[in-house]
Formats: sequence, C-alpha cells, structure tokens
Amino acid sequence: MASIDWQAFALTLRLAALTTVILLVVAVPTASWLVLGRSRLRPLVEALTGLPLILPPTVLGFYLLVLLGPRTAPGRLIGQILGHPLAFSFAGLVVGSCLYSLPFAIQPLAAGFAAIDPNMLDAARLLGAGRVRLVGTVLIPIAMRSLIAAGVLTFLHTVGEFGVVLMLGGDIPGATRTLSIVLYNQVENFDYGAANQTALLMLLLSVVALVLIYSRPRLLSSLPERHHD
Amino acid sequence: MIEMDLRARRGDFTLELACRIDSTWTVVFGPSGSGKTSLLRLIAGLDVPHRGRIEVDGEALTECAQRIHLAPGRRRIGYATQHPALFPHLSVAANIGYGLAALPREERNTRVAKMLDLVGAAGLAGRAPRDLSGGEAQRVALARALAPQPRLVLLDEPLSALDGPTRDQLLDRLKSRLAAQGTQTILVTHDAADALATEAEVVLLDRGRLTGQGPAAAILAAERRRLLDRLSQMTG
Repeated sequence: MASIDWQAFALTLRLAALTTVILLVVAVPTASWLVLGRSRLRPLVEALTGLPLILPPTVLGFYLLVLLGPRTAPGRLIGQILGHPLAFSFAGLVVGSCLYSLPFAIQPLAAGFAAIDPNMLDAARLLGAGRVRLVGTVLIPIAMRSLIAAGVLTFLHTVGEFGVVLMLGGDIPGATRTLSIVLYNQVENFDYGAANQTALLMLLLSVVALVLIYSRPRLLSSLPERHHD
Repeated sequence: MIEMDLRARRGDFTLELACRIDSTWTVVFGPSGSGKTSLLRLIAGLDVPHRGRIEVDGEALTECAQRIHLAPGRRRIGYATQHPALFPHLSVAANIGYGLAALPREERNTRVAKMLDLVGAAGLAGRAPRDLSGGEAQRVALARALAPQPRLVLLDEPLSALDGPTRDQLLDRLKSRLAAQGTQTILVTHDAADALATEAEVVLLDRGRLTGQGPAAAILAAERRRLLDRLSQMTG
C-alpha cells in the first residue's frame, strides 16, 4: 500500500465526515418540514433539494466556481470575510460537497419520516408535543435506520465525488486533492498498480459502510426498550 | 359544555352541523361515512374546518373568522381511537407517561400506575408495544390519552379489539370515573347497543348532517326496535 496517497485519504475522510455532519444537521429539520409542513413552497423546496441528483456534477461545480470566485459579488464578499476566495480551498470543497450530496441526506430521511404512522404523530401532538419534541422523541427514534442510511450514503457519496471537486477545488495537495483526484491522476499517468490500490481502498470504504447500513437494523432491534422510571 | 357551528370539506364529503353538547357522556352515532370521526378530529384540532367555530367551556378552540386554531396539545383534550398508534420505541409505561413530561418523576409514575390500573393493564408497564395483543394495545392507548387528565375525552371506538363483555365492563368503569371527575366525554360508535347501554345523550349523524340529538332511548328508538326484533327472531 506504499503508493497510496495517505494525505489525500485523510483529506477525503475529513471532507466526507464534515459534509455528513453538516448535512445531517440541515437534513433533519428540512426533512421534517417537508413531511410535517403544509406550506405551498414544499414542491419548490423538494425540487431544489433534489436537483443535484440529476444535475451533472461538472455543471454544479462550474456554477459554484463562478459564484464563489472573485467574479461575482457573493464571491468577492466571501473572499473579503475569509481573506481568500472559497474556490480552490478546502472550505469551498465543503460547500460544494454539501450542495452535491444534499439529496442523499434529505431524501432517505424524508422517506423514513413519511413512512411513520400519521396516527402516531397525531397522538404525540395531542399529548402536547411541539415540532421540536415531535422530531426528537418520535420521528428520529422511529426513523433511526433512515437517519443512519442518510449519514452513510452522504459520506460515501462525498468520498466518491469527482466532478465538483475537480471544477471547484482543482488539485492542490493537502487542500483539495481527494482520493478521486489521486485515482484520476494515477490513471492518467498509466500507473495502474497505484490506481488499483487507491481504487481498492475506496471500494473497501464503500463495502464497510454498506455492511454497516445492512447490519444496523438488527443491532437496533436487539436494543432494550426505554422504560419509564 | 361544547358548542360548535362548523362546515368542513374533505374530497366529496362535507360535514356541516351546529349543536351544543351539555351532557357528561355523549354518544355520536351514525352509519359508516356519516362524519363521526371527522367531527372528533375537528374538535381535537387535528383538522381545520373551512368555516365556523368550536368552543369548549366558553373557550374558543377554533374560530375561523378570527383565524384562531389552538394547537391540539393545548386544547386539553384526550383522544383515543381504534388505532392504538403506540410509540414502538417506548415501553408501555413510557407511552402512558409521554403526555406527563411536565410532572415530577414520582408523580408521573404514580399517575401511570393509576392509569394502567384503570384500564386493567397493571401488569403491562414494562412491556414493549410489539409484545401486546390488539386489545392490550388499545387499553394502553386509552390510558395514554387519559393520563394528562384532559377536560374533554374523545373516544372513537377505542376498545373495538376487546370482546363484548370486557368492553362493556371497561366502558362502565370509565364512565363512572370520568363522571366523578366531571370530565365531559364523547364516544363515537356505530353500534346502537353501545349507545343504548350507557343511557347517553345521543348525537345522530347521517351523511355529514346532524339528524337528531337527545336521550338514547328516544333518538335510537328505531334502532332499539330493530335490535329487539333481531333478538326475538334468533331466540325463536
């Protein structure tokens, strides 16, 4: 495993972990709003959060590059605040990853919340639960598998992203060079041995994560019920 | 005392009625699709009428003209239906205690034990909902709805999974307990025997309209005759 770029590996894990945490924090209230809310804006929000699924990553990366770069007012403003442009930086990569992986966090969670018996939600509301308590004590515990699936899918999707990273981050070692970029470079240089090791590492990550998803339901069902004391 | 004058639509169905309910124990009777459940959901605040108002003890719970719609949890209404909908990740005791979060732990535990006793489920406290029978789950759901000591109790065939004698016994016990507390109760049923047995005031619904209100013996006289005829045919 000597030819593995461990710096890129660590950066990829850091990027994926940060993206996953940020997206879960965003996805829980968004998914609960989509399921519990009656707003007319719901179809628009659903469409916007699902857009990255069908949008080519290079297109998303291009728009983000323009938006976060010095050519636009938001980009210049961010640059002034941070002292450097977001494009071609790790922070910019996190922003791009969050947008790119947004549907992978929201959709499994929204599906999990929507599958909960509406009579249960009515019961909780009648017993005095407001929106926050409803989400914390009913939606999340019951849809825990969906929450875990959302987390793992977001993590894996971020580990494997390429188009957005290349467009927005380029290939700066220690800042924006992820495993996908390393693999691309290795193949471009006909270094198939090294490419094989990098690809194998990414494959292992995916398999371990999927095993976690599939084994989690059994772990959960073996947990003792919470008792009222 | 409940006063309402409302109109609510859902798809092709329209519920439109105006009535005042003073009785402590009231039965809403009517055939399937007459609007019984819709009425209870409107009173509970789970659905919103298109126009009208609902008042309980002089307090406006819903007043469409003034855009008042009190949240279900602030109406002090207990609502139990034929679907127990117990929280699957909580024990029976924790389910019953869900609406008692504001009480100190000791008081909460005492209330939970009392409720379990009331519905005849004292041995089930530590059980998980998935280990309960249909009838046990309904008893627990009923206890959960009654635990916060609501001022109004809405029961939508909450004991349908119990056998006749057990259900009658539990309803009798419930009726005496709620009457002693002065808690107004509305029971929905499409079984005339339930309404006649409890000597309740009856609100008769048919296709979304109020078609009668008064003592069970008077309002359900035709149903009573039909039941007696059927019984006499069976006995020969």
